Amino acid sequence: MKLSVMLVLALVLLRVNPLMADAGVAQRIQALTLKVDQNPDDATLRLRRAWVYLEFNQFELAVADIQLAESLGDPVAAAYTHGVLLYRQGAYAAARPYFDRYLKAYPEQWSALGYRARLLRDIGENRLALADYESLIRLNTALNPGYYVAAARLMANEPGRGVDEALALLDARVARRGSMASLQRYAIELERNRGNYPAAIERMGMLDEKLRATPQWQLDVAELLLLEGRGEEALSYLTVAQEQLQAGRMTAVNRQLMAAAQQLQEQALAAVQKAADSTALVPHS
Amino acid sequence: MIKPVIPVLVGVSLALLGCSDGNDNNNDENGAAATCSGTQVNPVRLFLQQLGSDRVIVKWRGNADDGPEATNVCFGTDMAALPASSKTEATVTATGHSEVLLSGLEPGTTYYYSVGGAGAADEAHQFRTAPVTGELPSDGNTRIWIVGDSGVGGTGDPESGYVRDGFMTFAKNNGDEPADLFVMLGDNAYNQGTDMEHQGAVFDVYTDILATTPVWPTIGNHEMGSLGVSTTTSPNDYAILGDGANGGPDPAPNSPMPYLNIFTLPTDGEVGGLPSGTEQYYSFDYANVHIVSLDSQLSIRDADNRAAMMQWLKDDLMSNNQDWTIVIYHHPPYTKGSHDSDKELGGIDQPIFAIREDFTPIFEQYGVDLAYAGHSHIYERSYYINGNTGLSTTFDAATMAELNDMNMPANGQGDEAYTQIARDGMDDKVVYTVAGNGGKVTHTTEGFPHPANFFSQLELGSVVIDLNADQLEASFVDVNGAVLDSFVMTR
Repeated sequence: MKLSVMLVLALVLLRVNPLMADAGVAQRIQALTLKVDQNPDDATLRLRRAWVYLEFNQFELAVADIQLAESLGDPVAAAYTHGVLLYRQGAYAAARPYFDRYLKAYPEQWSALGYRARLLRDIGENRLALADYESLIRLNTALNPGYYVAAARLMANEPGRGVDEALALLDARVARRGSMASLQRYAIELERNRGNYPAAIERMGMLDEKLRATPQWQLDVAELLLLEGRGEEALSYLTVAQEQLQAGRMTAVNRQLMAAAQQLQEQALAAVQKAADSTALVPHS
Repeated sequence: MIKPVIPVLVGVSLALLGCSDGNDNNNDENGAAATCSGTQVNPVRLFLQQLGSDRVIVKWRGNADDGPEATNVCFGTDMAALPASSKTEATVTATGHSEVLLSGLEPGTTYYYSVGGAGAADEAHQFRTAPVTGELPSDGNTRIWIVGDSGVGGTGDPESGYVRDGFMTFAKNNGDEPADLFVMLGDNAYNQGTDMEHQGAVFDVYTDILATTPVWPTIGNHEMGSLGVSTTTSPNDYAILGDGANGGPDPAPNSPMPYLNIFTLPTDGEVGGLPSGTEQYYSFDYANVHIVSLDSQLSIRDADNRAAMMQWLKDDLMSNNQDWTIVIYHHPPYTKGSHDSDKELGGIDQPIFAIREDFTPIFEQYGVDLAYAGHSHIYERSYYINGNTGLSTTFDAATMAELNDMNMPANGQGDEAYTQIARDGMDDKVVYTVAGNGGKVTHTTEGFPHPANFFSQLELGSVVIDLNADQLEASFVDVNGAVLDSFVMTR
């Protein structure tokens, strides 16, 4: 490689990121550029270098390599890189056709599906985004839990789908791979938001045994019981929570829980009193 | 990554060993228990995973002597006589690793094992199960060895070996006690975390330690390939930049990310902790300590998965009752080493901000004691602090640090030792340490040292934590085994 080219490249990279001062990284970049220079018609090498530029937010340099790669080789293969580049610039509408093109040829490519799912959600195309999330889940059963929550959230709000389907999606994941608090908690939130407190309480009982032993769990159950109008039962959970908190370490969260327990206890006592009063007012026959 | 092809590990229960079922195959002609009759194999890589009080996974690949690979393991408490009934067949993953789950083990007990199923074990192939959760080891002390950014062996540099030898010297001079746990803080295999680079940087460097001590890693930016500059959000985006001379993505159907295929990490609370459902982040218990490994490289960049990890972290910490709690992750919230926690580096270091702004408040609210990161190639250790979610200029020692009798930030040493419950009566402070000096030290950045840090030094080394029921001591150990910094916390 010409010395001037190496110098320019080194300066560009060093200006962008001190990581590039790392000798090993710099050597790799130089070696890649050397190969590009030796094989200027190799579309694969162009795309590899485009990724380097892309990761360093050198979008103009990346576009130049991508466009050359598109003209030199398979434009579909370059479409994914082009889509990611535009996505990272926030040009979602412009990125979309590139992912569409790529996924038409490679419909099971996880990364492209993930990008397009997020992209579609970000531009409000929720139905299509959900379809991509569902494809992802179908293709990879070991996905990070966050994907399931994202899909369930879209599903719950999608006309024609709804909360029941979202819950089924979460339950299927739990049944297949075991207890996962983050999924069950979202399921509880869905039940609570639609006022199905008994179902939410039942799901609280499905949380991991370790969680069920915490004061936070007692408080969450008590809160749901109060919403359900079961003040007496809520009080018993609050008593347990307060005992646990007094025996536990004085962490900031435990202090917050103590205050919350106190507040809930007052609400529960008021509810119990109100129920007692209304019973007392009923005339005897 | 949970292996979809062969999801179930073959397990054997020691409870079965020695039990007569009327079958003479396990006894010799004199009625004594028969021993295994295979041939020991020396794998190219051999390591222990998920060691608990009653279980361990032995994982390996290859044959260093060019013969056939081992297909089973025999194990027992008598090194010279591994019972035939212990023979356990391995499952093989899509990336050619063999693994066996040994379960039903006795707590706090030394077992010997033979990969290949020989009747006697090599002394180097042994492990000691954890004590019952919540109890102390028989010697009263748990020793944790923590190494960060050690992956230079993959590129042929020797420094990680020097750091390893420094720890060995320290261990010999301090009770002659090996590590109970081996913790890796990410960037375990430069430059791109390929399988081949893991061989050079992990398995060829820590060979003896890995055969006896469980390794617990976390994901660094270099585990994600792309020369460590990837800002993608999913392991499925793993890619390499360059010519691929040191390997590339792993083949389908598993994840392309070698880290997830090499390590078998708990997803279902197998070793304590709350099930996370992913190997990207997890937790476990050992004796009376709870350790949480977060994914600061991947999950933290994606709002959906960050929220899921955050909820899991809160739930996990809430349900934790161990005496001590340690969190590990790769991106440090307070550093002025080779990375500057005041700068996002075009997005590459965005996780530093996410850890500091979104996660340190959780650590402090939920009673975490110590937090360890790498990424910056330096050793930096903070005061006992809370509430510093802003840039370095916002650190206010008077309000954020535990103070000594002279109202100066306490250093954790001598009569300034920290107490888990701080002077304000709250368990709401954490000591944050950067230990990205396990393979190289490079440079500092503008504003060095970070004002939240009591001790900062460009020196190769690692961290050793010794803890019991009442006290822990964390030491920065250099390549000679000398302690350059330490602090004590009591409870």
